[in-house]
Amino acid sequence: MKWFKKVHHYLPPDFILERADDLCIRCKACVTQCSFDANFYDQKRNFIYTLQQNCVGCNRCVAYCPTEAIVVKNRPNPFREHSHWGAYYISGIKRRAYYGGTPVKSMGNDRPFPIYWDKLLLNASQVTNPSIDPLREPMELRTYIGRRPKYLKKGEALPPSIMLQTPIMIGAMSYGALSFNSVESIGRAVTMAGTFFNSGEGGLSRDHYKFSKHVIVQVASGRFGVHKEYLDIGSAIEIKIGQGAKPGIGGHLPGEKVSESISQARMIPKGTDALSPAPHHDIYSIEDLRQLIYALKEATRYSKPVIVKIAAVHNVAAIASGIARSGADAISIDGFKGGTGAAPEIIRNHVGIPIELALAAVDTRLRQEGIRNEVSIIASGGIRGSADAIKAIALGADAVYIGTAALITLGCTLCQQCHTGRCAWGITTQDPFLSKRVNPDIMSEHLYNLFNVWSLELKEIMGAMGVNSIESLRGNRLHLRGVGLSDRDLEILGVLPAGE
Amino acid sequence: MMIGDRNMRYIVIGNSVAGLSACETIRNNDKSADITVIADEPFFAYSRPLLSDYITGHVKIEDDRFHYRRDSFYDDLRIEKKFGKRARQIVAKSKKVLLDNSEAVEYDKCLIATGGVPFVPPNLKNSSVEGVHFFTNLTYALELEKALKKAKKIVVVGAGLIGAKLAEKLSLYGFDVSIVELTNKILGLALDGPSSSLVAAQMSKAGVNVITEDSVNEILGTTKCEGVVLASGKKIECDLTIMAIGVKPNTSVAKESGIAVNRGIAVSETMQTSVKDIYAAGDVVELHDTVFQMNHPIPVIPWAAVCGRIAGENMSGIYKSFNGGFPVNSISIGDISFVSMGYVETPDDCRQYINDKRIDEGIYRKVIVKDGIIKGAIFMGDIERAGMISAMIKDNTDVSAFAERIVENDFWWHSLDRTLREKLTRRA
Amino acid sequence: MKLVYIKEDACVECKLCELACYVEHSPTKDILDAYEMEIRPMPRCEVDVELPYSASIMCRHCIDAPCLTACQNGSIYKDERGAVIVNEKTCVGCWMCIMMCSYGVIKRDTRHGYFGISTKCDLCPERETPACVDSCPNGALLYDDRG
Repeated sequence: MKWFKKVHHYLPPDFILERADDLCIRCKACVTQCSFDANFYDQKRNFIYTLQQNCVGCNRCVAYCPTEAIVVKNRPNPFREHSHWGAYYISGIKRRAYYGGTPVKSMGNDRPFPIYWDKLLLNASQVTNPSIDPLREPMELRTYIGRRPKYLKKGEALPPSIMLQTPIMIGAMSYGALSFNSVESIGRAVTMAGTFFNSGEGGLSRDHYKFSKHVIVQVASGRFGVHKEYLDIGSAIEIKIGQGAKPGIGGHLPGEKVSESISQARMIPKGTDALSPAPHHDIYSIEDLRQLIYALKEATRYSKPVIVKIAAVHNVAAIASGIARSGADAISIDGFKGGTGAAPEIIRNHVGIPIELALAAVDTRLRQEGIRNEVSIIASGGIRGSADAIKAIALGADAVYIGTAALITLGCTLCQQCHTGRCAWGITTQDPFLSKRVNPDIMSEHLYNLFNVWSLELKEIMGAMGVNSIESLRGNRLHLRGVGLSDRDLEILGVLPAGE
Repeated sequence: MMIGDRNMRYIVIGNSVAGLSACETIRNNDKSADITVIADEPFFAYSRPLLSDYITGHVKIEDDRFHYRRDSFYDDLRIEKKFGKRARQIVAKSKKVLLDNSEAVEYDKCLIATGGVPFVPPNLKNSSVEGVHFFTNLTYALELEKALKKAKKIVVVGAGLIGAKLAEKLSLYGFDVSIVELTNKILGLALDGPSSSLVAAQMSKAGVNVITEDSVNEILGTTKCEGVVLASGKKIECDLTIMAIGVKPNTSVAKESGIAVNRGIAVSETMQTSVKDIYAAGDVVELHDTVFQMNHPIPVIPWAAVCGRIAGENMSGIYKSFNGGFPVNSISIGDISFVSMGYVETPDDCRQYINDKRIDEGIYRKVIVKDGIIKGAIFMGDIERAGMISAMIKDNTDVSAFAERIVENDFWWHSLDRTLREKLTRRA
Repeated sequence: MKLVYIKEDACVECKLCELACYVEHSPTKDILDAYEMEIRPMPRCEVDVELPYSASIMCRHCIDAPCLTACQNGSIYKDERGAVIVNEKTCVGCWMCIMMCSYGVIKRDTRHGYFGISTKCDLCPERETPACVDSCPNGALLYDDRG
């Protein structure tokens, strides 16, 4: 074992990788698959060792071990038990002290904050109103994202909108954060499923322009990769003000991930950090936002809807109201559980509010002001399944964005190493060798299956509720009941407690 | 195919690689044809490179692996065997092959695949005594086998492929073997200096007394071989002398029949000789050499088989042409296997790439390139990827982009550029 | 006939194809038995690596196979599927086939006694799909009609 333990930088490993020697056949698949150099083969001893320090718990080796010889376990608290000073805090302090910087993490908030989805339950029809069998009756999931005019005048065209075959889209994950093959898989899957993916703030590779009919292009504070052709390629344009994982700060793409082709898509030099400014420097008010919205509309001849994406923060309802009045066609709200490719851990874990509450508050407010029809609402930030999606719709969303769920389909195990660019599953890396690990032929199929199954599940649930169109479920909070929630929570959610 | 109301008659003279390859092709194209194979040796077709293993007892005549084809071959292909009969002359006018027992066989198409005969230096004195042997066919091998029972000391003349392998095997088998080579290196046509010395070391390790830059002038003994006198004046005592200087095309039938013969039988690209309906293939013909840019016999199995097939196709009416060959050799001496092809010594107008970093382990590589096209190569030790080079020579592949990578020990598909690799995955 | 197609863009260098190959060519086809064998069967495919390029390479089963033509004692033949097969009982290890193979996919196995054996892909005659294809976790090997 040729390595040195640096005790003055020592942090106990987070994981224990156990390899059963009677099952290990030295095939070295674990060695070749580990992108964090945790496994290595010692020829002299004919033995495979693990540097536990390097293990990130991504389980790539576990998946590839042909004899199931490997188990990766969470290491129990390596420090002395303390009810106040948990290992997370002790390690956090040491890490900051050792390296003199704030730790950057990826994926969503992993702290044990309450999950409101799990405290909301769905209704079903019994006797007095019939349930519907989705196998026999048509069920409508088709959803339009865009402004709905108050009155329709004969001969006047409808405002631009995009049509979704299912109210699930893939949220903003840039080419740069994701590998080429991941974007390719996502693009092919949404094309098959008849929905959309969001390009994220990183432009679009020219090889992905073929997804023009299924891509929402994003314009964010860094304006990376934004040009006329890019805006024209998109079916809709999204202005990103904030992101659920890191409200109040801009995007981060570490220089390690800025490869030649990323640098071309983003129009920045190769290897440089792509850090977007925290605010849009041209937006300091709703009026400024309106200017950008109309600039983009003007640039695309009012042919496509403009979405404004904000993070769920404390006064989200008022902000959303302003956005609705600024000319946006849709508002996308990203809750604090939303994922990221790189964010300061401290922001990721402590800033923002749950999407469930934010969504309910925004929907309520826009209804009160009589402008709910002027914008569509897209909810995102930790949608884990079709049940979360349908609860979001019942709380007032038109559609949901999924991000982490899509990545899990591509192989992600939430090891939270996206920012290193060494993703062992080839999803969030620009390493040409690692990115081969996502095979678009297979993964687009998997992702399409996910869309398909979730859509079937949505229909199944709607049928049970006795609803045959997603339209009639939107904002219909009577289909929800809360359990274990305070009166105040219930009031904000606009949901009755279970039993009432 | 039928001619009038009778089947096409094919006669193949020679019962080895080229002849039988032609038979297979003919039978494949013409299910009804009458095919006759005429051969002077009375044996089932056998694999000549295994003769030295036969001598050392590692293969027996009845072994499957000694045979060029499986036992049911002649029956399966409905081939009439005329073995033990020598074809003396082909009379093109009356379309007959005359055998030495004055039998005459009629043909419609005839193939001469008589292979080679051992070459005897004309100035060798007293070569007709008992104990002077050849080793190019089973008849000679059987004679040698008998003679070896009473022999102890052996001199092998000529360190070519046959001589070197036989000398090594005999030495390991317990004989006291010397090998005499005229040039300054053994296996001179197949190896360059460094690789040749590697093989020489293997031979010495096996106990062979290697003598280079010398030749046998005279054989001693009145009735029986008692020793040899070398050009240098040195005398070596021995019970047997095995002549393995080389083979020359066995062109006697062709010459008798008025067929044009240069160094071997001259053939067109369809393997037809100067006389209509008479074809020739194998060691007996001279082939166009794409590397050396001349016509000469290339007496190796792969080309014999290829030419046999091409002859078979053309004989049965399907046009196929031979695009030229080049010398190729694959042999193992001691622990070392090597493959060489085309040039082995670098001509002045060529560039060479050599990797001798691991020559101590018996691993050596050399590639000779002219204007981006490979003209020769030696692979020693790690020979697995050598075939790619022979294919590149065959296809005239431009290797200028990766020439120096060919000699790397791990040369394989990764050394090529993507377009070439894609060609490899798609072709076949 | 069907052929194993190599997709270098999806190969992740795990070498499970090599493993599956030697297990398939072992007597019991049991992975642990195969690993413990004294003379393990040689994998007939091999992963060629020069990162980021990697690909599992095995016999292309040429229609006009130069190895078959070159064989000095008819040990290479085509079976009814069109696969080019080495008869390991009669192979004498002269390596003529290696010398002529355009792809460099024939290996020398010299561990079995006096005669070496040329070892190459046989497209797993006992399986519907070759073991390497079945074992590839990322679709880098496809068993498909030649075309």
